[in-house]
Amino acid sequence: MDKRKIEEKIFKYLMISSTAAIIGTLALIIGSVIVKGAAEVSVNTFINDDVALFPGEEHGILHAIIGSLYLAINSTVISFLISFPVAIYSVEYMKKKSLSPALTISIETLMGVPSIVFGMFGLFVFVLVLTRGFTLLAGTLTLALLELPLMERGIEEVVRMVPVSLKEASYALGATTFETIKNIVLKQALPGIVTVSLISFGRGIGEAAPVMLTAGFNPFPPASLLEPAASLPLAVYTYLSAPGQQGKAYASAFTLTIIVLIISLISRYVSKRFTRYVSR
Amino acid sequence: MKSKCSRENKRKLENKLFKASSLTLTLISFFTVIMIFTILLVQSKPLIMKKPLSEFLTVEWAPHLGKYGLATFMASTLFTTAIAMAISIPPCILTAIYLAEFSTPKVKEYAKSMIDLLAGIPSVVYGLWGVIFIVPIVRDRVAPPISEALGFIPVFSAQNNSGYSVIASGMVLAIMVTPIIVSVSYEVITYVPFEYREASLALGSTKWEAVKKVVLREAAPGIAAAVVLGFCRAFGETMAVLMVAGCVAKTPTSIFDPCYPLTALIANNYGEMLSIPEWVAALSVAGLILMLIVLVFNVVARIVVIRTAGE
Repeated sequence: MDKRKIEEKIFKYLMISSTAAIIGTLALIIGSVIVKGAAEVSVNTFINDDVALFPGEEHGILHAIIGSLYLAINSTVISFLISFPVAIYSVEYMKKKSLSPALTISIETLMGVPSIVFGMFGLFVFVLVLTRGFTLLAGTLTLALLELPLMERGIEEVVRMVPVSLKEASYALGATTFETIKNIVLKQALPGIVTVSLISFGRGIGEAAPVMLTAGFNPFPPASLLEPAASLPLAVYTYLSAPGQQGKAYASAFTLTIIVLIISLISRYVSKRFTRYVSR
Repeated sequence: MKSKCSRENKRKLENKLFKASSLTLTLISFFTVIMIFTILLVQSKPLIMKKPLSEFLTVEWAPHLGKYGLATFMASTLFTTAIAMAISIPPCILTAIYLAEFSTPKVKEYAKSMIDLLAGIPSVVYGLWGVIFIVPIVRDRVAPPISEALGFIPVFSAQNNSGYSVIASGMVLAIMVTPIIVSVSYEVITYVPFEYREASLALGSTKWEAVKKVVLREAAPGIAAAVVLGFCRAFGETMAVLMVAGCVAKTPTSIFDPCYPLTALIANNYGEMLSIPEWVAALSVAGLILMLIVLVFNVVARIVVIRTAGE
């Protein structure tokens, strides 16, 4: 056979096997975490705290689940409240085209900052100055900052895709920019915004390093914003190295993986299902 | 008439208020990076003012004695990252080429959503998987035969073989950087105009030759940028590395030695450091190093990607 054909064949096999290897590894990771975790999960896992109240009662990870949900939901909401106006401003209001790349670069740079550095920032500003202790509030604010660039980029992209003709129609009827944003842009961009928010939520719930430096750890669900809070990723890390508590680590990893998978499925469903109702 | 006028004013006021508040938020987010940088700089001031910068490049880390050499940690970070890149670059680029040029649309769609899924897995889950899967394999299956066969080379000797090692961290990081390298490379490959391939194919080249000689040459800067973005991800990763690196403050000389990357140093010391201002300063310097290296590489890579995609 031709030498060139043989080369093509060899490379094709190499490419197929590396694709298979990557997907196989993914399956292996998810599979082994779920199998290992499922063995440790019981009803008690989800209804009990770290500290068993009665002798013989099984410990659970309820504190970590609740802490994580608080952290991820609140930070996503805060991050949205900041990033939505920013995205809108850069698309709809910004007149000088020269400023837009500067903002883009600044946001992209923020996206590249390692999460532990966000944690240090949160520690120095939110923990030491604002709340004077490891608190749910400090963790939430740090996560919100971390999600900010991701969300801003995502929303900006979605908002940019809103057809100009629709906006022009709104302006032609005498609407102000704000009214056009409220009535046209927001509605058209909604499925995309929901997808972006879900992705940010997934990122927020999985982050461990910044939360470790700001929210601390708490064997009970936090009762107020000014209490430390446990979170699922940190529970995995903490319990894995605690003697006799590995079961809780596996259960936390199991729960976290399931949450992330569900979020990813929902976000895909939303972006597929609802874009149909948006005119392009 | 009057009420109409006031409604008009209200609409304009609303618009102005929204514009003003979004401008404020935009400015705040614009300066966030600078703010983070400034805070770290201020925190590291007690040490930077007192000691020459070369002091941080020594290997002695003894915060209680006032010795803050970061060389061990920098070496660990570079060593693990280099191994991660060496493991992941070839399969990632081959996969990106396969998905962009050779695969059927259906395979492409499934593989891409799988790789997106891989990107969404929290780093602590990778770390856990490293502890229950990679570490035992390195300890029992990989280290003994390799150190027996090649142990005379220092890089392959397994002196204190616990499995928590440079190679284990490298392997976990290699998987973590896969999604970003594959997806960015895939994107830049698909941006190469179709006519280029056609021209090559019309000259009688095979499909692989067209890819190798035309498409890859055109996409090379973008692929390099993808690799750099992967490097940044590995360089700044904390949790997974913290869990599998072993965290022994000794410069690793073999791939089976435990190591102690910069990120793990910060994560392990943040609690104790708060009692000593100089300790805080030393860790802030570590944070600054991480941030600066990652940011420079990141910005360059992003600009390259935007340029390649823009053309």
